[in-house]
Amino acid sequence: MKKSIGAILSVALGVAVVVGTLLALGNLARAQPAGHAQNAGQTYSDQGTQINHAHLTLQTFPFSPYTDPEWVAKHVTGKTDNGIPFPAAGDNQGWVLYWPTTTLVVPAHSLVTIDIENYDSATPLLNPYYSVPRGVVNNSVAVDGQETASVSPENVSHTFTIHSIPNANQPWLFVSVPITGVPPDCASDPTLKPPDCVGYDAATMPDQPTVTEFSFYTGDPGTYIWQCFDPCGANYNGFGGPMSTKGYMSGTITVQ
Amino acid sequence: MSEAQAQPNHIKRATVLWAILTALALLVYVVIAPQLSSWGVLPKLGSKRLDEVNTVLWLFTLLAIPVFTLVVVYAGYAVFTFRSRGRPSGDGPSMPGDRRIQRIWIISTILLAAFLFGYGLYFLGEVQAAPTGNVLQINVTGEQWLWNYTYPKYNISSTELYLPVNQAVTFDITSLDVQHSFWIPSFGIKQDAVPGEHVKISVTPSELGDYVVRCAELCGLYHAYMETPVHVVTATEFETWEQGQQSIQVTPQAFAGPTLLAAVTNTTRRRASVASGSVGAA
Repeated sequence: MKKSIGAILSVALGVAVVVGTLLALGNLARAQPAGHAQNAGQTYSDQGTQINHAHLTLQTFPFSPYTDPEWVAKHVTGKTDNGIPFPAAGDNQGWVLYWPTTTLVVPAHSLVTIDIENYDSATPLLNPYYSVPRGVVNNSVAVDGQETASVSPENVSHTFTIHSIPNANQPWLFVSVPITGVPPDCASDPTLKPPDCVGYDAATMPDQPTVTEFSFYTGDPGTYIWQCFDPCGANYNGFGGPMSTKGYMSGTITVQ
Repeated sequence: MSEAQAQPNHIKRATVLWAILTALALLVYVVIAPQLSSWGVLPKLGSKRLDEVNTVLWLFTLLAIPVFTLVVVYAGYAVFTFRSRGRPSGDGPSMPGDRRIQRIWIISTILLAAFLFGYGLYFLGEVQAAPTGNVLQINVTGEQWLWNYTYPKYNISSTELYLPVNQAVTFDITSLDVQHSFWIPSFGIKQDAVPGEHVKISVTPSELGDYVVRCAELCGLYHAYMETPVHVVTATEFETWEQGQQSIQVTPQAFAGPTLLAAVTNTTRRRASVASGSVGAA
């Protein structure tokens, strides 16, 4: 009888430890708030039917912008000590990241336009495949308003690549665009003149971002993975750190 | 009645039990084996190579069943029949070897293993033989966490694999970062993708349909999502797809043109509206 009670208590204790550990880990994992694309009116699909148009703006930074007082003073009004979902203190604020969230939501059966304001410099692509926009309207992107069908792999800073796994429950979606890097600091090389260089602040944040704009059509609802394919992280040939941690250079995009 | 007459013939009993169980197991296996693909236990058939792999699997399993039941039945019979009731008071009776049984066991094992080895070698040579004639070469590059395919003949690249049916294909596989493994279960091929190394593997897709290629080597955060479609299409459909891809060339150059979308050309700084839980034009 004692043996049976001991065995039952051991199993119960084991289950409690596992459940407790999972709950503790769950509490530690701070979920980012979802970024919903905003309604941008109506437009026409490539088949000529009227569809919704949604718009989303993301930013990429070489490090958390909230660690740069000059950037905060220039771009943030009101409180800076709250309402900052990510990255919070202790969340690797020195890592390159997409901001303000990597959890994106866009409408189904719509045209989605995304602006990505990039404050990071170029990191040459390992794979030139990602220097060409794919799966987007006109197979092109607009870089600071200038439409282009490709970007030199040397000038790419990041990529925004949506992909899914073959799944009977959702359509295949593949969108990949190169994000052009910000030119170097004019102060770093006196021979450089704008627009081949730009101003940087004391924290090495560029004064102005490079803006990449692109559009793509969504189909039926589904949840997809997106990530950067440029080796912009740490270690492992640039694929470690923020490139291998959720919430920095990768995330999900839900079509709903 | 002598002691020898009182003892049952254990060998005979165990052998009968083995024969019955083996027959039952073989019957069950023969009935369910053809259903394994439709049940999802084995991948959907997409190439002759997988068919041959499945034949080997079927044959080897069939031959393994009698061996497995032999071990289980004789061991189980011995454990059950000769189990000790209470603590043993001394050593058991000595058991002299039976040369006849030893000969049968060793010879049959050698014959079985030699057959499997020979058949395996023959099959390996068959599936690894380089295809002849018109072979489509595709360069496969693994990268965390997608596959890229380049068709040198057509100068196109894609993340989706399109293949013409009944056309021999040779994949030249490598990786840009860490080790991956290029695995198309329905074709019966799996090959490591190693940075700096180029390894070739050939297959001829024989069934029209949609399949998947998976990474079979744990390669990082999104390894589980490193899975992309494979489309086996007719020659005409392949030609249509290939011509469509020609418009997307890897030629890094900028050109002047109209702004992408007049409705959203105002790309001046839009600060994210975090407080409202949304991102977009503020």
